[in-house]
Amino acid sequence: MKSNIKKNVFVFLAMLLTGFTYGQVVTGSVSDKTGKLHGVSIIVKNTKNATQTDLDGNFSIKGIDSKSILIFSFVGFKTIEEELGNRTEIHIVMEESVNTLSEVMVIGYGSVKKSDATGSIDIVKSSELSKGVISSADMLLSGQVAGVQVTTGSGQPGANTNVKIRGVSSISGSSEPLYVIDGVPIDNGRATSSFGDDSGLNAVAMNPLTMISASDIESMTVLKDASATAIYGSRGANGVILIKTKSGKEGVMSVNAISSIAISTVSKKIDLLDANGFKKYVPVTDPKRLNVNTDWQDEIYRTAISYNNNVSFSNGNNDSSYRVSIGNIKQEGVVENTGLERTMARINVNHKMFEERLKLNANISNTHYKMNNFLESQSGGANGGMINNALKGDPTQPVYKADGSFNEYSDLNFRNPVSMFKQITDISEGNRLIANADSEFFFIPKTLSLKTNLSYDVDNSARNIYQPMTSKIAAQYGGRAVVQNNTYSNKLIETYLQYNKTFNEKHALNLVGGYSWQEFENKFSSITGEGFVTDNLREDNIGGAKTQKAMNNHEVNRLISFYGRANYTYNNKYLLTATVRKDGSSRFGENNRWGLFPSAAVGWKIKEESFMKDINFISDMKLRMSYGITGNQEINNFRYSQTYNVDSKQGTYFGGVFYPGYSVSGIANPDLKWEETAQFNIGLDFGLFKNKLRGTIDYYNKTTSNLLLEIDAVQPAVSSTYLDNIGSMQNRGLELTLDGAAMSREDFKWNINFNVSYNQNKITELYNNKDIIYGTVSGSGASGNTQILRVGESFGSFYGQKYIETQNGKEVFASPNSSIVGKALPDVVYGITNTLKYKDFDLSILFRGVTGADVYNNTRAELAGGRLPGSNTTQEGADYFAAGGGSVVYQSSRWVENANFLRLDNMTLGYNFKVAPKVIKSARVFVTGQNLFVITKYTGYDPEVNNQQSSKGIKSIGIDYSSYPQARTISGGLNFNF
Amino acid sequence: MKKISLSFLLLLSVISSCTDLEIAPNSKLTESSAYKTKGEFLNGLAGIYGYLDVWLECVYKFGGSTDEMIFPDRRGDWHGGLQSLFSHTWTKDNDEIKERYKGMSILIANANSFIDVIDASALKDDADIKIIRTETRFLRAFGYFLMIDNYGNVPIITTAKYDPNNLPKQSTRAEVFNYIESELKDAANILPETSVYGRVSKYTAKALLAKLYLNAEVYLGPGKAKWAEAATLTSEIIGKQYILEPNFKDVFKWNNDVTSKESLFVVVCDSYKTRTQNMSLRFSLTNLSAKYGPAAEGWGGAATLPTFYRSYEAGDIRLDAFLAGPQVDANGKSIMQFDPEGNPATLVQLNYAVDFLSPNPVTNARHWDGARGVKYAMDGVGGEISYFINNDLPIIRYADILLMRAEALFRQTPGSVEALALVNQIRVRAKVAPFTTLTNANLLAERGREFAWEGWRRNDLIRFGKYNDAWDYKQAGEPFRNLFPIPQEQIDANPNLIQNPGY
Repeated sequence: MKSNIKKNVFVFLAMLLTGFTYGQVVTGSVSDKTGKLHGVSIIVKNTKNATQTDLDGNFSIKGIDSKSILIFSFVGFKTIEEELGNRTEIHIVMEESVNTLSEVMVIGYGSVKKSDATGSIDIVKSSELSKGVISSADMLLSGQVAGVQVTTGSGQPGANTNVKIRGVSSISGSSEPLYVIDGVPIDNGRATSSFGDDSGLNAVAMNPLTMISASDIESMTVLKDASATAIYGSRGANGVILIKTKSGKEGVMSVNAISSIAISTVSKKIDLLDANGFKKYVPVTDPKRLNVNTDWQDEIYRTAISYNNNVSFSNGNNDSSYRVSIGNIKQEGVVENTGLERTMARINVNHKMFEERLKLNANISNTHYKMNNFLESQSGGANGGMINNALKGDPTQPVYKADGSFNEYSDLNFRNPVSMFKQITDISEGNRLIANADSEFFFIPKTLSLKTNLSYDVDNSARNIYQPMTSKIAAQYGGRAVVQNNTYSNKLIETYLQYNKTFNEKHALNLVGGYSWQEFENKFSSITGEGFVTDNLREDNIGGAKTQKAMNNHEVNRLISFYGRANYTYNNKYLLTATVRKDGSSRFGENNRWGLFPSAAVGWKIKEESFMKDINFISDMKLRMSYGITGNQEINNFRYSQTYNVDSKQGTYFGGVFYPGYSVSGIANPDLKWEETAQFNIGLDFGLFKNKLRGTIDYYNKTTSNLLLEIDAVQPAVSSTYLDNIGSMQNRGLELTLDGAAMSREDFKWNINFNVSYNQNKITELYNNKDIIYGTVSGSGASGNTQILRVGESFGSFYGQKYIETQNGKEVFASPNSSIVGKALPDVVYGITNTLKYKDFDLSILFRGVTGADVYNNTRAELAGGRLPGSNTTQEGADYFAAGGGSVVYQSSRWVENANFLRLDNMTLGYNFKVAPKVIKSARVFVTGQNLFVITKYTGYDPEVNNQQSSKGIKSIGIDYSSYPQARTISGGLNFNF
Repeated sequence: MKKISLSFLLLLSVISSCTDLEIAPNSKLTESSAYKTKGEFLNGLAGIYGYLDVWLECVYKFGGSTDEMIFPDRRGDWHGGLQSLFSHTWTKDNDEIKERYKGMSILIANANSFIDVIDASALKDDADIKIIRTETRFLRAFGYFLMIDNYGNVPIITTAKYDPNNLPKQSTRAEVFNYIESELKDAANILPETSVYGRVSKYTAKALLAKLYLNAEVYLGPGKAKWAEAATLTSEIIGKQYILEPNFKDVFKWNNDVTSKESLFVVVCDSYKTRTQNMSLRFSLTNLSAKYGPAAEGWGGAATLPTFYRSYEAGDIRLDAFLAGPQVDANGKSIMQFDPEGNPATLVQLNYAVDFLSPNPVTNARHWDGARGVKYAMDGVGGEISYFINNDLPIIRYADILLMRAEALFRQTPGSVEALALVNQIRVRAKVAPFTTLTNANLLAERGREFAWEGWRRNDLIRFGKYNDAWDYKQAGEPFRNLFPIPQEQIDANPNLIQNPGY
């Protein structure tokens, strides 16, 4: 196999260098009824000689003679064999195979023909079209799949996104789906490091999916209903996303190079007073300031430039195939001194031996990432972070003083945001390596196999922060440095048997049974130094600081599972799937360590029935129904057992000698168990007019019980709350996907994909059915919470007084009592993708939006109340000030804004052209616009926003406080395929 | 074929070894690995002392319900539950009242948990461990003392484990009183005469018991006073190792663990390890970096009230605990700052006006108004970091022993010569003229001046029947306010609890 690869690489290089050919050459084209087909595989029978059609459906193949037989194959079409004879040109028209849905889908532990799937499953295939700057793979799903909502809470490159599949089904635990890359469930739990209020050391959690390059992804499969996810048991409740990376194709030598450049600007600024406006309210007499007009937002926002370069090559023969890719993506953020740079390398190798009795696969990927954080503050505090200060900066104050030093003009509530990004550095840098190797041995060819999978996933990162003595935030400490090291790793051993057999042509049986063992480890250490002698040694010499603080932590947890699945198909009409998974988690005590997660589903391929034969406009129809139970174990380790901490923060001095404190760490709950989600799903898949219009409708009802919640402990107790399984929540919804060809002529194709989902979330039980108020409000002078969990209401409901108007500087409310004044979760999420092809041009346009959502505009609330004279504000705030207004009521509907939006998320125009057909199979130039416009009534930076605040162990949702604004990005690039 | 057997071997090894889910924490101890050696118990005790930080919050937040302190709404800053504490309009959902209840309970519960650990240990009969156990009981009794003083009727729980189906029953204030009394009597018997700084002695237990007796009428009702018991206990402390420091400031300095022998019971504070918040900076002072160095960026909240400030006579050295009027730096130069109220371009001298400009500062006060508390002097040399301090906070100090005895004698015999002499010891140290007679009013006022911003004002006002009076910017209130409500969330969690009257 090695020598083959070497040889192929050599041949490829030789071709590149000389462009020579050998043997007879035949050229031709492949098309179907509607037009040319791109990517059709052409193999010379019984040889390793192969090629594929280019974007125009043309091909050319060398080194053959008149007796050669060419095999044309393409997914969804009948394979054709043609003897060449004495032709030098050959034109093939392919026919669609009878079952257009013979496409195979990856599902958990195996695959299934799409037509035979009983679960609610969606696939998003990575199109070869570049979609602009993609900083994490989950963004590829945005607007693509009904029932999947991808929210980027922050415009910061690399910031975490929230992916919700069919609503929110956990309150304290994670609501993020499980990601499985090439069969390996990856550890996605990353905590935001928190240093407490106002330390300037908080940073957004980095999105772990940034480590996979969008151009390496072949497909993403979204498992939504319990029938599909129950095979992942305790981690399936929030849905599962299976990511399959590209691998080499048999007989197809391919080299692909993409290079693009992107320019991003901040998509919207907050409308604040300028210097003239400000001076109407605050008299300015200082002659040095009379002509100053500082737009502090402009001072921290920039035109950001990003680069994406990626090269991949792949090849394969009967036995082996490989794909290697290497890429570098350097992405600047629109806020000064922020950005993300990644260098990603991936090797996928597949090998078959012993007459295909043994299949070996190995995937190794490594990503080096470097993320520049900025001083951000999502929790208010007296002084706030960079964006917050840019909003409140006095426009009549210059950025610099006459002597060139930073103008820190106020003692109260202001830090110069320019000085922050110029002086403070905060960089997270690391490597994530994911390696997995699997072997599949067939005891009976194509029937009985044993697959064993080993994988290792390690993420080593370091965060280095330096806040110099000269910076206002760290002056009080005499400079501050922090170095943190974090290692997340997990090891997986998994093995399963697969049995696949059709009896009497009517009974098709597929059985899977297996075992998995996965261990997760986290090591964390942090050193902080305060009080520096010089700013020149920075975080590289913490030993030279006046004081050092060190802390570290080491945790391991383990998940062991047994699972099985049976698929039975009778007569290609009636489908039955049953799965069961037994999971054991070290996060739970002996009482509830093991959980059982079963599911069952039936499917009926109605179109296969004889009575449907004559209904011609219906080309496909299948009814599915499923019910199952999945779980969620995303809580901290050791909450079930009594543990003791030894902690220097808790100790005291006896006789001048320090004794670290030694005490119980919280209240143990030995009865903790999984959150359980029972889900019913009924769905219909259909294809009309020869599958020109395909669609899916699903209805689901998900009930999550045993919710893990922090409960107020009966005092006296060693801590104020404890974790218990109390409460339940329901998500009900409808999903519709339509995918149709509006036009399919030879030189003009127009495809429309539309997906829409409706979800209704309702809390159905809480501890003593008592409201839980959470969702901290932030800002100078702000206190309290704005969200509520209440039985009968949606998760993420906003709570406050009903605001009527402001009269003479006084806010008027309907009642002094608070009530529910909005909700953060949308009712409807939709996306529309139009794909057009005209001759050599292609255009794709993605619109997406939500309705029924609200956002609490905490930024606006802070700007409006208690602002001026030293702090800038909006016109709203200035009017309030002029009328004599003081502080505002934060718990109020006044700040809850309609966050419905329609966004032109992505528009890509491409042109395919021929440069040197013998060398370059295809060449493409493209321009992409991202986030081109948003139609919304929301007044903040962007309606898709979320702080990462949490109170009482519950993450807030839909609260906007000095968020990193979203970017508008235009990119252009070239893509060559050799 | 090697690969096949490899797969098989792997499968076999996996299945045989692995249904094991028992994982011990690496960075924590478990019940089987904790408290194995004698040395660990001293750290356990240090952990319980660590929970005394609830006292720091009480000093300020509950101090803000008296005539010595106000947390105004400063142009929106500090807006919240603190204003209702000052105006005596708090509700059973007040966050400060909720958090203090938890803080006190957590001290008690951790003491309970530690006592359970000791009782289960093979080392429980060791002489040193018996002292540690008694000290823990003392700290728990102090937790209950805070409870009886602030919340009155609370459950008495003496073990960490209780049945969730049989929730704690509420005890009456009298039952809590009897419990604390008996615990402190035991502690006074068992604890040693002397102890290292930072740990309590026999006399600390007597002092706290004296405090309990001094307030007996408040806790037990009219006619249940225990003045004589308080007088006896305090007399047992006088003349022992504690002294009235000649220099008042030495009691509060950053190195007061060395400079002062006045304290019987302290919260040891440290800017390095335990990172105790500098309450002056966090709660009261504004930016005073020109005076105290870059760390002194205060949050600017609490101030004292004009009448309280003016209750000090000229020359009273204790008035140095407050900063008022135009401020100067360490070299006597005016501290010039941007005026937070007027033109932000103008530098003016920082000025803490004793009188608030607004007639109702509770709801709207200027940032600089009000005299600020800085009793725990910032040193600038002790290595303070940010707003953490090294100054230890006395909970009970010798001056209080003298004044408690004075009061106990005075209440029994209003003309007591000894009482007058004891009070005058305090006045002489403060460099003010001795009293010629004692009255309720001048005794209360003297306690106010001596223990200003030390956390006892509420207790004193209630005992003297003055807590419901009107004072600067505050209307007269109702007697039921002498007890805080049991936080509603506690009643929701434990239906056995009955709310205090009036709420």
